[in-house]
Amino acid sequence: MAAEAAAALEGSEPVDLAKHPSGIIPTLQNIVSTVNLDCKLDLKAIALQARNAEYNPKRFAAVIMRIREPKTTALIFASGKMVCTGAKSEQQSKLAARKYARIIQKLGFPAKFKDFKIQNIVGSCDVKFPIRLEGLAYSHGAFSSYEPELFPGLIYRMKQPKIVLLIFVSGKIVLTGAKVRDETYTAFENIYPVLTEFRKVQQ
Amino acid sequence: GAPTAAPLANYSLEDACKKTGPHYGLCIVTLSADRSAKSSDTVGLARVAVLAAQKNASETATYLSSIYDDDSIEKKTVQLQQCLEDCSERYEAAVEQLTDATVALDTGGYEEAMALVAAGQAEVKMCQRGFKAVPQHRNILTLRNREVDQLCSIAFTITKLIRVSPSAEE
Repeated sequence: MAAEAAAALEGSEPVDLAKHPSGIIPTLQNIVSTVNLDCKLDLKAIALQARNAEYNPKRFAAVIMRIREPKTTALIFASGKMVCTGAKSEQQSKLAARKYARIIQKLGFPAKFKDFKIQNIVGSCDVKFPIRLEGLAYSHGAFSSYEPELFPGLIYRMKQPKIVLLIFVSGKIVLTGAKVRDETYTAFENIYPVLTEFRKVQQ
Repeated sequence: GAPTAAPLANYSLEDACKKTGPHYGLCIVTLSADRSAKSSDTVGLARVAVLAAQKNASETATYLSSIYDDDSIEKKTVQLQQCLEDCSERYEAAVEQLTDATVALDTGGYEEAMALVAAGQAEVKMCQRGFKAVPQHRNILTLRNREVDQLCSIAFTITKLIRVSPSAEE
């Protein structure tokens, strides 16, 4: 799926219009996952022994660790819970989480790999035409928050699927809150007709 | 599911900066530079702070790419080159994490934003720590690292203020 999407984005294959009638496939930018290592951890010991680890308990109650491949960051808590962020696909996120679990095991902790779950998927794309944010916000007031003095984008809280979209006048769209990538894709297809309706016509 | 509707705090720019302790001065200067910060709620202040840290980290990433190929640096060794390459990767990661933190703020994911700012700051600290291997060059990035580190501390503190009593782990 990831390879297929990447190929489609690179233009070497046509977009599957049955699944993406807009012709646009959002790119997955960041995957956040969690897993329970199911054992208590001595964070100070981990930080001292592991390369690429940082621990400042006064500031944040987790060891922060990074690996190069897949390029990700883990937040590892004393409770044994771990958050993995920065992967570009669900598979990469799981692979990375397994690698962190292995590192913890090698440091002498009886880490397991329980309840792996994708918590958030952030996607983005560009519709390549400017958008009238004021009109959209007025017309979809129940879902929209637009305060250009504070933030240049319109925040659109879609109910079904439950996804938050950031819509910019430039046509750049950010989608966050998905647990599975199809939610991201569906949300974009839902909003696309609205975006075309509020396309800013050049004078 | 939906996060519990904990009340959002409402700090003025000055009061938020007082919470940053030793970084009060830098906090005032940084936030005051953004016009919107004067009328912002706490989320807006956090956003300005995160963007300032991200901008500074991005400038440092650019600086790193320029000195990586700079042969005029005295006594440049393979070790230093490796150190700079490592820092380049770390700053790229920090910029990504701080960017993701602004997205999290904009979509109400305040705890996620805190975690991402902490992750970005950790990259900066690990970069600086890497210079222990090349002590004669340790000052190449010290000033830049310190400033980004302080901006991350400010961003973290203000993000933490958004909710009255956040739980960092959950």
